[in-house]
Amino acid sequence: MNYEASQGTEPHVPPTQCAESRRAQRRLEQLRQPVGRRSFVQGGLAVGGLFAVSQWSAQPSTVESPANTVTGIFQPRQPVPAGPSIAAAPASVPPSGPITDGILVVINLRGGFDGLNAVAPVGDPAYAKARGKIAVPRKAALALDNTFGLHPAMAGLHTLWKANQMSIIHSVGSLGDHGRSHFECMARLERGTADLTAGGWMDRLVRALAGQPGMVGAQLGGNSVTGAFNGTSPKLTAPGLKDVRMIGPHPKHSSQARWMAALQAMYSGQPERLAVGSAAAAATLDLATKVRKADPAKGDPEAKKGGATPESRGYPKRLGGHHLNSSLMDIARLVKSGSGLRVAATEMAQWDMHSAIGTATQENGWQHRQLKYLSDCIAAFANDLGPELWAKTTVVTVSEFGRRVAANASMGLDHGRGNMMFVCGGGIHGGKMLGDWKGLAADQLHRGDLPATVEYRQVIGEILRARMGVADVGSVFPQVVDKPIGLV
Amino acid sequence: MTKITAGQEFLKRHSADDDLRHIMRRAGFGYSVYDLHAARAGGWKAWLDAQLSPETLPDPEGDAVTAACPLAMRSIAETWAQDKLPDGQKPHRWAGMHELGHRTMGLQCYSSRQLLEQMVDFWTNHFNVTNPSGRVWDCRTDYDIHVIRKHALGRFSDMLVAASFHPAMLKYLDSFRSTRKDPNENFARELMELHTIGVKNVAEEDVKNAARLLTGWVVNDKKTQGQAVFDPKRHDPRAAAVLGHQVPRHEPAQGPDAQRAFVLWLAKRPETAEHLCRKLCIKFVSDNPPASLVKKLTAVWKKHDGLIVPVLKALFYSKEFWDSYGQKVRKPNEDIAATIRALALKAPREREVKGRKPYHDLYHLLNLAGNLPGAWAAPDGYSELAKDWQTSGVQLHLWNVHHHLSQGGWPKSIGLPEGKDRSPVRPESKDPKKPLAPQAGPIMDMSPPQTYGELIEYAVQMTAIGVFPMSHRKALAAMRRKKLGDLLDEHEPWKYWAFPELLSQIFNSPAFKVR
Repeated sequence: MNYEASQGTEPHVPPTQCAESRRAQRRLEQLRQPVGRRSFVQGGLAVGGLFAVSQWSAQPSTVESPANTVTGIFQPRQPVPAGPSIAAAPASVPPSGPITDGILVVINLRGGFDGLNAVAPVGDPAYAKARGKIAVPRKAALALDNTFGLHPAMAGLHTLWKANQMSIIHSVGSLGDHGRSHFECMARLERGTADLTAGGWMDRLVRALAGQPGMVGAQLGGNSVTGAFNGTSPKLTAPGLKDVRMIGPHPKHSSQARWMAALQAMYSGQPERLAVGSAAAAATLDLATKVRKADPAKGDPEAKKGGATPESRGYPKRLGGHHLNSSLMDIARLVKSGSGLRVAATEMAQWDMHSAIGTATQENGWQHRQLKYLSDCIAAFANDLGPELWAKTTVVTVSEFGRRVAANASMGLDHGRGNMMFVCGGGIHGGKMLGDWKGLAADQLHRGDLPATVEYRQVIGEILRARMGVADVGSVFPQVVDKPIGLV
Repeated sequence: MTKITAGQEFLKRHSADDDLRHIMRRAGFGYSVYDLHAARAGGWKAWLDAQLSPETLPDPEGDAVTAACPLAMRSIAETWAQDKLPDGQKPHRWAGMHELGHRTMGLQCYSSRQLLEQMVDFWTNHFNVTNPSGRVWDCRTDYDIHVIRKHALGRFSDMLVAASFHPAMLKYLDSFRSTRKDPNENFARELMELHTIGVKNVAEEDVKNAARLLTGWVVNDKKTQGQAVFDPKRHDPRAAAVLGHQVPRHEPAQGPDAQRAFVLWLAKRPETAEHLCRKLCIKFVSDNPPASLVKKLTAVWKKHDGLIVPVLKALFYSKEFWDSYGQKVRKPNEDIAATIRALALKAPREREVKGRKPYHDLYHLLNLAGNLPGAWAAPDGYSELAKDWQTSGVQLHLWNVHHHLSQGGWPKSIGLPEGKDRSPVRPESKDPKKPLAPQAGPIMDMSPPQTYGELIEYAVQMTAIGVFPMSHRKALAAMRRKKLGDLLDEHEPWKYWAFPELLSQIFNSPAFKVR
């Protein structure tokens, strides 16, 4: 399912925009860090400094940013694990308490992820009753604790769980109940505030990390830029790393370098309103080109012969139109190259499983295949990064809403509310079920839906504070409940 | 005024042709060398006058676009008749909204009624009802035709009333579920903050009172087939005071009249005049509009009771407008439309060509730029400010689109037609024995180029981009490791199949970003 198609089949409860909260938000933002031309240009300069494109900017780089002093960016490639090896989680680097230079990878599960089959409350009799044939049977589930078991397709994540590198927060949801529209709920999720005009939360995060060297934000995968990145922070956004290139230059008589040299000559000294976007584009091109040269993958313009493939790095083969394997590999390539990447977004769609999702043990079933792919991709990503980088990395999954507790008549699940989140990372104190689970008894449900007892922003907020060095979580998530739930 | 230095010559007006360029970039989406030539005789005033009366302009290309997007032309009743399939089947409910997006982009690229399309862009953002979005599947095309386009060059108060009570707006901003018992403030707030008097003039108490007054509308899809119905039982008929406008206690059935009177009262407020004139200045003059011009236009607005044409005329005749040459930057839809117009491409006649839909492909060029027409999620519409579009992904995408379009590579279906009907701004032949023959010869008065400098001049003239700085020409020649005076190599690929490379780099240059 692509997002667009999913909108066509929903019960059509589209956007409601609440101006009151938008105005409150506007005031908050004004109070906090004025975001505008000024911080934007500084962000641009930080990037420019690293890749020596500051001459593109109208204003000479007078700020001695730390970016200018970064060296040894492109170190030799890390050894590549031989073949798929999700049997063992990467050797654990002992968690060393809070860190400030972590890397956050957000996987957006578009379409409404079914958290109740992924992390099934098999110990709750109401679960099997509500789900009938499509329930995960207790004996098939991969045990987590007395109540919960992982879907049998998710052996990869179970390995991380056992190594205490994954925690699960159940009964999570977005700020407020805004109906069951993909569009509306996704917009809320991606904005991270009631104010839809405020831009995306990941964009605010990149700006909160302003002054850090390199390309702080990146999105790999997806048909368009995620709403979470809506805004003016400098970032790399592309379907794949291989796509960050100029299409024009003909290999026989031209080159990207010559095109860019001509553009640089034309844009140098131009007013900011004309030059800033070009400088940012040049910086991302430069970065992507360098990463591809140092660590070529199949399909890259620089990879003459061969180059790495997701399979050669331990990721599963591509599943249908899902490019999560190569997207995560691209993110790993950026991280390993020392590009400065701190905030990465990617996605996996087609979770809008209204009918015929298959049973838990049916390996070619829709839900089984997708869960296995997701799980194997994340486990492979951990391996791909290697222990040291994995210890700094936190992977979280989000989705616009969960699915109805009870199955529908077509062996499927309609739109619900509460969901769950996976939080994985080599440096977290994992192996824990977190959140405020109230069970599936009828009086605990909200009109047949799992309630959202914890807000997803609270979960990510804890990561921002304890692993990303963001002191003021409210600058990313206005009015968030900034209270640790025990992830780190 | 900031000082113009070497390499920035294109930021200044140099000739009568530049006057034409300025007006055609601002009041439209760009021009081809032919458009420029045709406008020379009458000058910018004649061009503008014709644009202000779009119904007098023949528009064969725009008609072709509309003919290829029939689903965008449907009323609510027609959409229901065609898209509401029997229960149990999944209706293709989004087709009309998608085709509306296709048509909007198509008209920006190909229509001769350029100012009308710029105003449609303006009002679509001002009265934003996100397209596509599920709630308005049946009425969004009707809204475009009977609210936005109908009044785009009409009177503001007419448009405000039409927009406020159209099912699309009633649904988008929750009026349809705002009742006496449970008034929803969403529309009341945006009506004042965004659509009329502006956020700084609204107090919380006003929003609450206006919301009460505006209750009573129902759009019960199944019962009314998407039409709006006023239900007196849901209306709050009590007396209300909003911003000094007194609404007496009335019979519930008189609710629509009281609401209409309030909306009209808002339309005529001086704050509304100022708010709208400022927005028009941002759209057409500068990201930081001069206060003098906002004041001047506000007076014209009041004098003509919100008629749009006199305000636009005053705007385009103002000194501030002409002083703002080179100040605005094209947003992605304007950039892509300008490229297509500069290439003098013809509007595709077919809805589908070899399994591809040209207007669908054209529309999706804007997807990676985050600028699909009408698709902004929040009620405030897309930003008109340059700073909001300067991200790496957008810029890189536009550079690549320039190349695709120059080369006719993608989208295939809007690239060059086969045979003689080629785009005139391309060389005649791929055959090395037949070098460039300037097809726009009578207009350009140029002989075939002999040097790299002449070849670049040829491309500059073909794109009609205007003053193109010497340093930029040198930079382009350096791509071939040549100087401007060097004679063209016998097998120079730029003379033949690689000419689009030169065109793309001109579209990629800062001179083309200027609106």
